[in-house]
Amino acid sequence: MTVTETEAPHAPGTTAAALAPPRPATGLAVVLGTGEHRTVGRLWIFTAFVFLLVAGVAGALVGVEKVDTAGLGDVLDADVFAQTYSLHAVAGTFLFLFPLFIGLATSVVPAQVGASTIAFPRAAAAAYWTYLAAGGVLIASFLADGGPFGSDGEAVELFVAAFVAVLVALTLGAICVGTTAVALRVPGMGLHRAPLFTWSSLVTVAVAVLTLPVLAGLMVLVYVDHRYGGDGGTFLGGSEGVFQRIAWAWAQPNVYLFAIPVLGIVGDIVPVTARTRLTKHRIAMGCIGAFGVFAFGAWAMPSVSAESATTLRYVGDVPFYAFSFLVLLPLLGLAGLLADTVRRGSARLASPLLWGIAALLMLLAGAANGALVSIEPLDLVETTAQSSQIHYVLLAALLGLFAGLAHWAPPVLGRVVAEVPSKGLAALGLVGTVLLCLPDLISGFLDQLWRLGGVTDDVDAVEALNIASIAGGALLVLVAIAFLGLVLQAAMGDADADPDPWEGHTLEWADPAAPPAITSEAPLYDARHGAGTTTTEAQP
Amino acid sequence: MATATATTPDRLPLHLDDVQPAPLRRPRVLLVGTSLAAAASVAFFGALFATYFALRAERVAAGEVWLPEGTNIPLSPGNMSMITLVMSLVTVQWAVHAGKVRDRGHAYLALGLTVLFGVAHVVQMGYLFTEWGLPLNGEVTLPAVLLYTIFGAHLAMVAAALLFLVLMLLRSLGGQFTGTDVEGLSAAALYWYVTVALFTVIWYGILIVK
Repeated sequence: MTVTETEAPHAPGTTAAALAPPRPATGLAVVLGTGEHRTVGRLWIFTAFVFLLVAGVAGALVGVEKVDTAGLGDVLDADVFAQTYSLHAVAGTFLFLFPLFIGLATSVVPAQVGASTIAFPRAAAAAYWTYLAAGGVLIASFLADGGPFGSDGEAVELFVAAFVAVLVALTLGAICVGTTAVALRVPGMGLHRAPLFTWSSLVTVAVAVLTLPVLAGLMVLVYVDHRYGGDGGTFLGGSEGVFQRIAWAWAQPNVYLFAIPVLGIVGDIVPVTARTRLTKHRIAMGCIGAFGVFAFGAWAMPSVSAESATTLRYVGDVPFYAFSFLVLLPLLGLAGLLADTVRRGSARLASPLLWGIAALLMLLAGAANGALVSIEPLDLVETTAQSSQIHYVLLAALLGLFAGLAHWAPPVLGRVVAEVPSKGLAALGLVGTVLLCLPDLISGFLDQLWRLGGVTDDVDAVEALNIASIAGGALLVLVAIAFLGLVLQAAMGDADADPDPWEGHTLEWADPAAPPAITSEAPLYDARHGAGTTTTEAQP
Repeated sequence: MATATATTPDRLPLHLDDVQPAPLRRPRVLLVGTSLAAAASVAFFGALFATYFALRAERVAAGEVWLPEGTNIPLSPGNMSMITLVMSLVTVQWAVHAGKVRDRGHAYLALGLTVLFGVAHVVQMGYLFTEWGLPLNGEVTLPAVLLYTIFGAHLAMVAAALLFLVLMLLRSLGGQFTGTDVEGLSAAALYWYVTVALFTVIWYGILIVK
């Protein structure tokens, strides 16, 4: 155990041997017993990558099955196809994407706010271990013919129970991050001076705390219904109902929850790589906050009713239209501020910037795609245009989190990831995302349904588009594997001599022995350019 | 350690470097964390309530009877539970105040009463389950699934809130929170308030309106 809150006083007369400091933990005990936020963050990150492989393989199987639009059965039968699709979606979002954010935030946010540790370090560690165990059980439940659309009742219940545990773990991890951002900021760092990643993490946590428990509540209900409701849970739709009650979490508008951190990550990367201050820090914070408001989607969950419902039940309603279009405004606002920052500075084309630009572009594309889907006369709901939007946004989140990993590799992993390959992977990631999503958007206009493979119009064109989409997916899987290789290389190598290779602006890059005064949202930038001091005196 | 609170010149510290700066005033970590956890709990029950009311409205709009024949939800246990929990709001605040003034006797008494009220609520709910005629095996109905989920989840929340209160009181009186700082107890009390507030929705929306 490496983190304790207090040290017990030594009793009088204690022998010298008893006063000797305890032996430091070694080997596996360092990992198993730690509450140190960087170690816990790394555990989240690497475990998330393992689950990404599961989600990627499931996605590849779904993609191959969709090549032939005539019907299912080429590779998977209908039930297995639905289960594989569910595994791809659940693992991709709740076992990879959100945990990757938790891992990055657990590592970076305490350092950004000048805290020596994350709030509730033991709870943060408990959240990780719960996530690991429950995630493993969740995957195993699919292997036992469980999960949504599963036919083994007990395995379906096992999936639901494991999923609830994953949601509890994610909520707990999020609470630790949010509490750190609110309550552990160094004196002088008002919330208005918080770095954008810390701010976006806080916004993400706020939305997640109001969203993930809603999903957990529905899952508890589904569990009781399935276990005691008779005939496999007839009241709420049995194992098919499980999927209906999860699917809103990655449908519009809730899908934007996963992309909120991207805005903070890009917002922190751009000024550093442009070697200047961010234009209008507070307006940027406002844009991220507004995006968070539009990302709150529990109100739009479609499956409260016992009846089968579409994933976008509110299409055509005024609030849904409003949210779908208004979400573009903060994105465009932030993109404008970042573009102005680059224009004023002297940008270097570092790999985090490339990942970040790719993420922001794809997020804009996803939001525009979402606005299209919300237009009822276009009739795009439940077509691949809807899955295209989901993929745009979730892959933007993936690219953004990779940007964060590339940027904060020195404090999180110990050294920078190899720059040249990382730049290449960023470009390929952008190409892969466009290749995966754009064909789906087009085939959505050709009425291809998003899950069942049915198509009513130009079959040849749709099948060609599906092949292009699969190529994009395969490219992204390769990019993710290669990037994981770079991350592992950085994590296992010796620490860099220069802990601040980017000349960062915020506290995570500061020498802990000589922290700068908090004079603005960019204290290190101030210190370098004479706008601040390098004393440790507390600010009022 | 000499402190700046000494009033006579001969007790002033010889070396100003020895004077420790006043503790930094920060938002209280445990209170912030508990607030987030309470918000998560409200969201959790929000999902359950939304589902219950939506399905009930759906059935009623279709002209069906919501509660199955033979169901009898008596008013007395629910009303008594509500009154009991409202009284516990007074005692939990009493416990916080006693902790603040380090009045160990009153703090234990107030907390003991709060726990007693909490346990009484659990017992009354148990009695309600035996009376309302909603089986969870055999002829299971949709209202039974919903009601057992909602009440069961709330009883779990009551148990967690009571455990939190006891732990925080023990830590507070054990010196974990010094002087007038009873952050832990205040945090536990906050969670208890939210627990009672959620039962208010259950009491009116389910037990009264049926």
